[in-house]
Amino acid sequence: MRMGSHLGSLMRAAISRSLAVVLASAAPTHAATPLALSCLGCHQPTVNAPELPALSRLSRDQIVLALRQARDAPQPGSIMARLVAKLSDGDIDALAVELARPPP
Amino acid sequence: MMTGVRVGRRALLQWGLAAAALRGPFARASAGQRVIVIGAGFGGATCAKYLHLLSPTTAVTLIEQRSRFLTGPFSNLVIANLRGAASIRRRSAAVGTAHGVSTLIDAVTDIDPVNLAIQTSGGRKLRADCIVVAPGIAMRWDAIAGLEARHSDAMPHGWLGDAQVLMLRARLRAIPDGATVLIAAPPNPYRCPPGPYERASLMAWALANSGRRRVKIIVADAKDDFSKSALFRYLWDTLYPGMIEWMARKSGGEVVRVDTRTGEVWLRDAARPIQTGLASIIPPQQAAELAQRADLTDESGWCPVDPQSFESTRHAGLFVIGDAALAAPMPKSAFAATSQAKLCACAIAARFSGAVPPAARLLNTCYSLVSDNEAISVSGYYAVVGGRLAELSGGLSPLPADEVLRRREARQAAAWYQSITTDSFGDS
Repeated sequence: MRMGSHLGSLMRAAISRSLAVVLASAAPTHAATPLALSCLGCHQPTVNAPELPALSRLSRDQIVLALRQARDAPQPGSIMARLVAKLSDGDIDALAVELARPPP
Repeated sequence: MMTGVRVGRRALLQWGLAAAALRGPFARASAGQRVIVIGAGFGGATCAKYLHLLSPTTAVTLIEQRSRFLTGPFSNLVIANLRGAASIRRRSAAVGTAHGVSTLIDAVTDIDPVNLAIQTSGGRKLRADCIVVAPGIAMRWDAIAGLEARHSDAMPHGWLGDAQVLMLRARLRAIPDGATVLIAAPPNPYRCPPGPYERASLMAWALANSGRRRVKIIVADAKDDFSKSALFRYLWDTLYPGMIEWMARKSGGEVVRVDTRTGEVWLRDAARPIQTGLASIIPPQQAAELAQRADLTDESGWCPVDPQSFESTRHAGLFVIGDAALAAPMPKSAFAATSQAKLCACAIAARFSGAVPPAARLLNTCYSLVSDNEAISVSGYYAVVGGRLAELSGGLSPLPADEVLRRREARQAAAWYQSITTDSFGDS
């Protein structure tokens, strides 16, 4: 079971609400944990190459979907598959909250 | 699969991180903290940037002795004339300006690891609450007979982002067909594990595409295996048949002596030297001299660190990131240095604000070009397990693969370079 507990859900909701405050700041990135910041090494907002899209232009759902696909049904030769193979659903949800564009 | 208990702990940990994330950018109580970051390469520049972002009240000073430098990544493309040198050149002062931190172009001559103070050759004396040391590597000039720093331009390593990269380009351009090129690959650990083999690939590409297919490239190795070895050797056979010969240590591949005047190179146990037209001797390596002088290195010549924060295990308040740090199984790569820099910045910001320290979770991806439009890669995801860094997941490009995948990886490599240099150096 990945991050399926009631406690986990509550925590995720709390994190989402808390980070929404950070999202509203004018900082160049609202990511603030080591793993999310490391994602930005390849996914710089101002570069946004077709092969390495800027995550800040994607919604949370898009990022969650892409990371789950990379983990559960990867394309042959996918680099992301190597990086996300051991991430839990909770890890992926937390990364999406940090990296995606702020919800409307 | 994780147990329910671990799920709960992980959730609590994430909650702690979210709290840390909140406190970082909005820290109020930590005004007046000072951090000195030594070295404006991938590790140091990235750490200075994210310290400033995560802890805006902290005064960050970035110190770099070189006013300009070439990045290690993509330097082999410059050697093969696939890129201009200007595209990999960075100006240190502009790096600091891009990140909004004060920058000093000066050489740190001494670090007092107890009082957290430094001195520079320009006469500056500075103190800080934390010092981040990202000094890179030093060559061990005592390891190969006949090879000295002052003569090494004759057999350029091109491994330090300096003029030797351009010397290698000029020398490769002038090599006549039928000559011998020798690349000496160092023993582990060293900066950029796939670098010598990418260099062999791109030199072969440049030679083959200029009508010099009879040039022999010998990779003389001080070890018996190397990063992405199966991929490289498969692609050498496919793309450049007969041009590249790899000699393992066990087959006598280790370079033990050179004559920089005549171009002769002696391998271990060889009766006669190899006459080279171009030798690129990449010496064995250790942490940069500054790290040794500051008592940050152990008997290995590298800097032991606490993997949770990259704080030195020898001196509290000093942090060592990038190639100088003992961070196996992470490779000494640009990406690894930036990932360590971000963890280190998060850890220092959390310490200043009294927040929960971040969980050490790190990434790496290294691309190697094998021709003008084909690349291979290695990636890993790392965390601390039982007090030590461990690779939780990772892998390489598949060995049998169509051209489409190799070409996609080459496009990714170009985008990766643009992205990571933008992240680390801004518009510099």
